[in-house]
This record gives sequence, structure tokens and C-alpha cells, in this order.
Amino acid sequence: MTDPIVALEPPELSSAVTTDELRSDELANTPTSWRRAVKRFVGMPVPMAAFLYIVLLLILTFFGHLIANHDPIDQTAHRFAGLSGNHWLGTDDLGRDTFSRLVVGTQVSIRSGFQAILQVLIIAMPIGLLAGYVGGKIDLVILRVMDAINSFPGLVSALAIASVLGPGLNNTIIAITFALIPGLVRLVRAQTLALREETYVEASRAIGTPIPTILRKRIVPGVLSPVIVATSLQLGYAILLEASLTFLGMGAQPPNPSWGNMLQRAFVFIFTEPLQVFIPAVAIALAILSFNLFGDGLRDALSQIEVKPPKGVKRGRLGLTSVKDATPETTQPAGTILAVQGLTVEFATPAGPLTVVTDVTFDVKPGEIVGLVGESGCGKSVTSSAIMRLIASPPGRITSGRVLFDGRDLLPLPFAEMRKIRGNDIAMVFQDPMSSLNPAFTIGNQLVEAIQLHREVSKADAETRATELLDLVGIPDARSRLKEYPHHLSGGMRQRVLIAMALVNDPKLVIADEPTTALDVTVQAQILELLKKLQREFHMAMILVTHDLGVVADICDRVAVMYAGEIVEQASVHELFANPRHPYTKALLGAIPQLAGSEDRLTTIPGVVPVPSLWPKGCRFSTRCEFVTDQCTAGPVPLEAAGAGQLVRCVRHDELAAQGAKVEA
Amino acid sequence: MTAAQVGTGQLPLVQMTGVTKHFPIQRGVMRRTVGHVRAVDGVDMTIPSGSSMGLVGESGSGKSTLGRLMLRLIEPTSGTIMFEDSDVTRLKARSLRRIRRHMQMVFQDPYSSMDPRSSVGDSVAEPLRTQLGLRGRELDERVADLFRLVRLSPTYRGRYPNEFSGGQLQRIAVARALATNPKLVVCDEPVSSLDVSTKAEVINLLADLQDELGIAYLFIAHDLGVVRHVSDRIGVMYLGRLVEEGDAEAVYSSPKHPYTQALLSAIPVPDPVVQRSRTRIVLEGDLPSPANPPSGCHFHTRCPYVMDVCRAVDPPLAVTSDGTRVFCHLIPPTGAEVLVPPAP
Repeated sequence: MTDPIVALEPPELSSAVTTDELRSDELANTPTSWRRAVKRFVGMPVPMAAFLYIVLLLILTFFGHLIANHDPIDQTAHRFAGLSGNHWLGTDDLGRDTFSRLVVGTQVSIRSGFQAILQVLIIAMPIGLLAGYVGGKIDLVILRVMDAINSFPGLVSALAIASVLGPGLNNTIIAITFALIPGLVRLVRAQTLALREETYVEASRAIGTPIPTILRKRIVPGVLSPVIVATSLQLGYAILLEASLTFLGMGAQPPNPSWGNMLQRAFVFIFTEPLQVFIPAVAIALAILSFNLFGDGLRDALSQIEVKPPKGVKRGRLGLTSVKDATPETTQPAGTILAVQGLTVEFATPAGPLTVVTDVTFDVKPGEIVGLVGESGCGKSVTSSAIMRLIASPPGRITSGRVLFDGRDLLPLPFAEMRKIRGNDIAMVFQDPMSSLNPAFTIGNQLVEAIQLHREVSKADAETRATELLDLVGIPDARSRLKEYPHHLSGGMRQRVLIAMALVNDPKLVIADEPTTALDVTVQAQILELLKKLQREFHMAMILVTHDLGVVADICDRVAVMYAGEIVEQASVHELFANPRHPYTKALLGAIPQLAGSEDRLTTIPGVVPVPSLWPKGCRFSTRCEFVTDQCTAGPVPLEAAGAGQLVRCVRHDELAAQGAKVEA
Repeated sequence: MTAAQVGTGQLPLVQMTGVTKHFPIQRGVMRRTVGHVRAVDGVDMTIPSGSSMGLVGESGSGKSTLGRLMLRLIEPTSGTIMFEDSDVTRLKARSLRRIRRHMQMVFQDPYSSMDPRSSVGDSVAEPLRTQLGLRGRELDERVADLFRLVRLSPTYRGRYPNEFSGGQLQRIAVARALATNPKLVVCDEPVSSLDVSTKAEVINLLADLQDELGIAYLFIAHDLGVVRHVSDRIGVMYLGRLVEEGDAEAVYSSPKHPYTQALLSAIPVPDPVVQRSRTRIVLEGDLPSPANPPSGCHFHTRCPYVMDVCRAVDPPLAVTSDGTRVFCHLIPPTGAEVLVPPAP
């Protein structure tokens, strides 16, 4: 067969294979989930102890008759002989050695538990997979049958089946199997149903992979881990059922020893010889407990989410980001409403503190819109939250810097003072309006609450004000909208409500974090027009955090471009787009399809944004920059003035600007 | 007149006629059907072989549903979908599986479209095993070739999805889609979950591969800038209907339908000089619910040029002099010049 793809591949392609670096943060480069789970499990002391006990039970199951120091059915000793060097746990009413019976009896409990669970798995897995994947009528019938079985308690249905089939260990195991099937079918079905909706399963369907293969390769591996957890928990239950049925005379028949019939036999003498009841009871309880603890440990080891925060990192209360040695400083730079100076933020991690925002300096003049731009992971959202001190401490902490707002440094302020400023002088608008509004209250409630929080006004006055605000942000029929809940409104309307909430106390500064990212373009256009109108009418200053350079070009006056926790370039919006000076800014602009002609190739930046722990020394963009030289990595690069009020963090900016001018000329 | 004849003159690869998808809305314990969401509402569309059709629209416009219908990943309520000379909507399960080798898909989020429990090499091998029956050394070599095709080192085959950046993983998803050398690839928002710089690498790759391999794309996106960059033709959808379809440059530079004009003017141009000199057409209100679309022209509730006829009568097809197909009462079906003021 000819190979069209290879035939069409131009010869130079193989040499053009990029050696992009893979992600190298902690999430990546970890062994596959099973190996990770085993590693995690070994580190958990209680489940490990339970596991070792299960291993002991398994040894007794296979080699119990070798360990027993007497024949378990030998009746030659005295009845109730008491504890001695010969009879370690005494003897029973027929003079049989209790220790030997206990050890040999292990086999019955463990074998019936495992055999029942194995049968349950063989029957329930395919039924659950079928019900979950195929769905429809088949699913409905299977579900109803399982419900019918489930409507009797497990022991009752097992007892009913066992009495129909007659006594004996094998019949008991069949009864246990039957009682346990519905639970596992439901689990497998629910898991299958969830996995069926995964995009990678749809991808397999799009490839044309037959259903059995999809089930085997895409569904079963995902179903397996919860099934294994459930199985180990049900093993304990199966052992309990076996013991109960045997106690009731159904299971292993005398004289062969089992924990259940030991208990039954000794029960008659419970008042005279309580120890003989106690011994098998403890054996049963310990076996069940160990399977349950083992199952719980497995679940924790297999779950993707960390059960506990990593050692050494405590979760703090949300409220106020702590600040390391804040020295008050009150000289507000002339003509600014906000001046951020040398702001540095770090997060505590298991590997020690990690700086995520370094030496961020910028200011906002009254009535000005400043854009904070960058790709994900560049620190723009952390910066905007740090200004409001909204990062939880720990793990976050502001290690240095000043945030001067309207003649005050916000960083040394106590919580009560900071709360007065939030939502009052500085307001925030977030990306996702649904999660910023409380779904349980009407928008009227929420607006009135926000108004009354900072002002002593009557409820009626607050409602009037709320109506005015909704009017102002362009919500039609404002009065009646007050009674609606957030889910009644469309995404665009919800964002308008959030903006109205931000305006409640005529803030001097609004921090908007990706306010239009979740919206469709025609709705985004409405919101951008609204923000422009508000800024014009109220002379409100704004920080706009965004990754969309189109939005920046539309409404910002000045722009700060962030990369890897630093501001790399700062300029007026016209300067930035006309004469980008930092290679990163240039590359970002070149990567926008709208700016390139439809035939041009887009600029790409090799590699990925490095995670904070891997920031290079010197210029943080140096690993991906096409103009990199040795001087770039020599040491930290300062933010230097260049051109008309521009600031740029690049050692070669003059040289590159001259080169660029030459090329253009 | 079909779009293929209007367009490049090549043979149609896919021809959709009157394709409709109504999702039932079910309520209550008895799961009674109380209505239908008209996700796709009578769409005719032709994709000539080797060309790329961009499909734009806002959320709820039905563009993703249309892409899945084209591959019959969901069953259409009515309509026919001809892929070459077979009607995809009538194929039996086995023939449908066999034809999938010629039509593949790239999904929006690569992290959810690649099985996190399989190595990326194994995921790329899946179509080769299923469709071409490749095994062993041959399979391995082909997977390596595909990694090179998307400019990645074949040594990454044994890695798992979480070890890759979004852009790299999306390139691997492209490799998987191209494994069987398909004639059509439906790309559903392939770059919208990626950052600016990684977006560019995937767009460049898709454009290069089309030049090299002559694949036809249905390229679904909400970002007209991206779509224009990779498409020969552009279709614009609104509430389940195609409202305008034509040559990419024609749609982009002289949009005919008022919705297309508004959509284009809503996208901010990343250039402050240009952006601030434009007058933006700001549409009133929100997208109506597709469960209860407006009568007549679906766009009439938000259209700045609405007339009485728009509220009552479905707009007829008009073909303009530059070959654009438009559904709007303002444009006479004779193909005379555009009456709507052109977009700024």
C-alpha cells in the first residue's frame, strides 16, 4: 500500500521537527496514575497496616492447616480447657482447639468473600457497561430489575435464596453474590454513563472504533478504579454476610470450622464461656475493618485530587493578603489615583516559597483605563488581586512593594480599613458573572445589600438607587428586573448587573478582570461600549486585565504587558501597537490572525511560558527569544525608559529598534 | 445553483441539503417532550474537495451541532448529507464506521479529547489500528511519521497528555485526525482554548497541512479573524440557520447580511488607530432562545433594518454578484447590488 502522507511530506520536514520543551511543572513528568497511586498508598500508615493484615489472612487461607498446632476437628482435649501453652486460645464445648479452628476457619471466610466478589464482578461489569453505554430501554429494564433486588436488605435476600437452594457453603456464596450484584451494576453504569460523555470517547467514535474496542480501551480503564475501591469495601460486607448466614445455619456445615459456625456454637455458652464467643467475633470484625480501611486508602490513593494540602502549606482564611514588613508611605505620586510600586508576591509551596509576581510597578491616573495584558500564567490576575489584597494568606504573601491609592498605602492597612475601601473606593468586576452572583438571592437583594453595606440608607432608597444603576448599565425594564434571580438573565445581562454592583458607591477605581472573556462577540461589543460610556461620564479610572489585544486597542489608554510575573513593556496604547519594543510584545502582535494578511504565516513563539519555578535567570523571555545573546542571561534586566514615555525590559531594545528601522528603510 | 459551482468549480465532497436537528426538551418524571431546541434548522451547504469552509456564529448558533451532523456523530432529524456518492444519513453502522476513515474531527479542548490514561502515541495509533489494520513495526513507523508531520519529535510517543502544553497536544490531536489520510476534517473551535502564541502554531500547522495534503476542512470558530485566515469560504450561522455564505474575502470585506456586518464590526481590531475610527454596529438585546426562535427571519428581533416582511416570511436565498449566498429580505433574489449600507 502506498503511503500518501509520507509521500506528500516534503523532505526537509524531518529536519524541521521542533524540539519544543515539554511542560516541566510538578503535574507533568509524573509516572502514570497507577504507579503514582501505589506510591501514595504505601505512604499511608493505617491502610498499609490493613493491607498487611489482609496479606496475613491470605497466608492463613492457603497455609492455615500447616500453622494450626492441632487437628481442628480432633475432639480429644477437655471441653473449655482454658488458655494454655498447648491450647493458646482454649478449646470449645467439644474439646476442639480454638486457635486451630480459627486459623483453618479463615479459609472459609476469605474464600467465600473473594469467590462471591469475583462472581459479582463477572456478572455486574458487563451488565453495568451495557446499561450505561447503550442506554435507552435496555438501561431502563436493567435499572428496574436492580431496584427490585435492592429493595430487600442484602441479608434478607441472601437468606431467602440460601433457604431455597438449601444449606452449604457454595449455595451461601451464590446467595451473597446475588445480594451484592445491584450495587456494583449501579456503580459501573453510573461511571460508564459519565465516561461516555467524555470528548475522548466521542473522538474514538469519530475515528470509527467499534463499540467493544471503545468499551475495552476507553471506558473500562476509567471504570476500574472506583470498581476496585468498591470491591474491597464489598469484600468486607461479603465476609459479614457469610458469617451471618453461617451463624443462621446456612453456610459451612459442621464439623468443618468457620468463623460463623464457631460463633454459632459458642453462642449457646455466652454467659459461661464469653471468651469463645469473643474470639471468632473479633476475627470477623478485624477482617471487615481491614478490608474497609484498605478500600478507603485505595480510594484516597486513586483519587486525582489531593486529600490533604501538601505538607508545610496551610490554607489561610480568605480575606486579607498578609504583607511582609510593610512600612507606611503616604506620598502619592502627583497626578495618580493608584501607584503600584515594586509589588512582589510569593506563594508557599512544598518546595519553599515561590515568587509569582516580581517588582511590578505601574500607575493609573484619574479617568484613565490601563490594560494589564499577558498570556495565562503571566501573573496579571495575581497582580490585580494583590492590589485589593484578595489573595488568601497563606499560601499567598506580598513580600515587598507599595500600593498607594488616593494618598494612602493599602498594604499596611488592617482588615477593617481594607474592607471599607473594597467595593467602595475600589470595585472589582470578574470574568464569570454567574459565579460572582449568589444564585439564591434576587439581583435586587444583592444590589440593595451592596448599597446598604457602605451607606446608611433606607431599603426603599436603596431600591431606587438599584433601579437607577440597572438603568445606567442598560438593563431594560430595570424596576421589574430587581425581582429576578441571576439564572433568569443572559450572560451579558449578568455582566451588566456586576458592573452595576461595582458602581454602587461611585468608585474611583474599577479593576475588571477579563470582563468580556466569557461573552459572545456581539455581547462583548455591548459591554465594551458600556465601559467606555461609564468612563466618559464618571471619569472613573480602570484597570482592565485581559489577554485580548483587540479589547486593549479598543478601550485602553495605556498598556502594561506582562510575561512570567514581570512587566516587560509599558506604553501608551498607540505607541505599543505602532512601535512595540520588547520582542515578546512584537511576537504577540504578530500572532494575531486579524493583523496578518490572510495569506501570511503567523508569528509563533517557540516553547511554552515557563512555570515560576523554572524562570530563567536574567531576562525571563530569553529561553524563547530569537534575539537572545549572552548579555540577556547575565543578570536581572531593569525596566528602562525608551522612546516617548515607553518603558521596556530588554537589554537590546535600542539596538533592535535601530535594526528594525534599518530593515524598514 | 450550488455553492460548488459558484465557488471553486471543484467537485463537491460534502453536500448537505435541508439538514435539521431538533433536540427534544424533556421535563418531569415521565420525561415528556415539551418542546424542541432547533439547533440546526434546514441548512444547505456544499464543501468542494480540498477547500476549507469556515463556519462562524455565536454560542447557540448551531455551528458545532452542524459539524457533528456532518460526521453523523449525532443523528439528524431530517435532511441528507452526501459524502462523495454516499448518503451518510442512511449508512448502516458498519459502512458508517468504514467511511469515517475519510472524515475526521479535531475537537476544541485537546486535554479532554485525548484519553488521559493512554499515551499520546497510543491515541494516534487508534485510527491506524481500527481503520487500516496496521500492527507492530508498520504501525510504529507510521505513528512516528505522523508526529513528524505535525512538527513534533517522535520520541514523545510514550508520553501522556498532561505532559504537553495545549498547543503541542492539539498538534497531536491533528496528527490523530490525519492518520488515515482523510478527505475531510471537521475542526471544532480547534484554537479557542489556546493562548495567543500557541494559537498561531496550530493555525499555521492546519494551513500548511492543507497545502501539503489537499484536505477539505470545515473550520468552526467564533473568531472571524481566525476563520478568515484558514478558509476559502465562510458561512455565517444565526440561531440554527445559515444566513450568509460566500468567498472568504468577500464575506470579510463586504458582508451582505446585517448580522454578518454586526458580527464583523463587533470584533475589536487589534490596532487602536483603526479600531477607534470605526463605527461599531452594536446589536440590541441577546440571542433569542433556539427553543423558541422568532418567526420569519430569525434575526428580525435584533436587526437594525427590520421591515414588516421580516417578521412574517422566511427570507429567500439571494445570490449577489460576487457569488455570496445571503438570506435577507433586503437583498433581492435577482442578484442586484446590495441595498444595505456596507459595513464600516
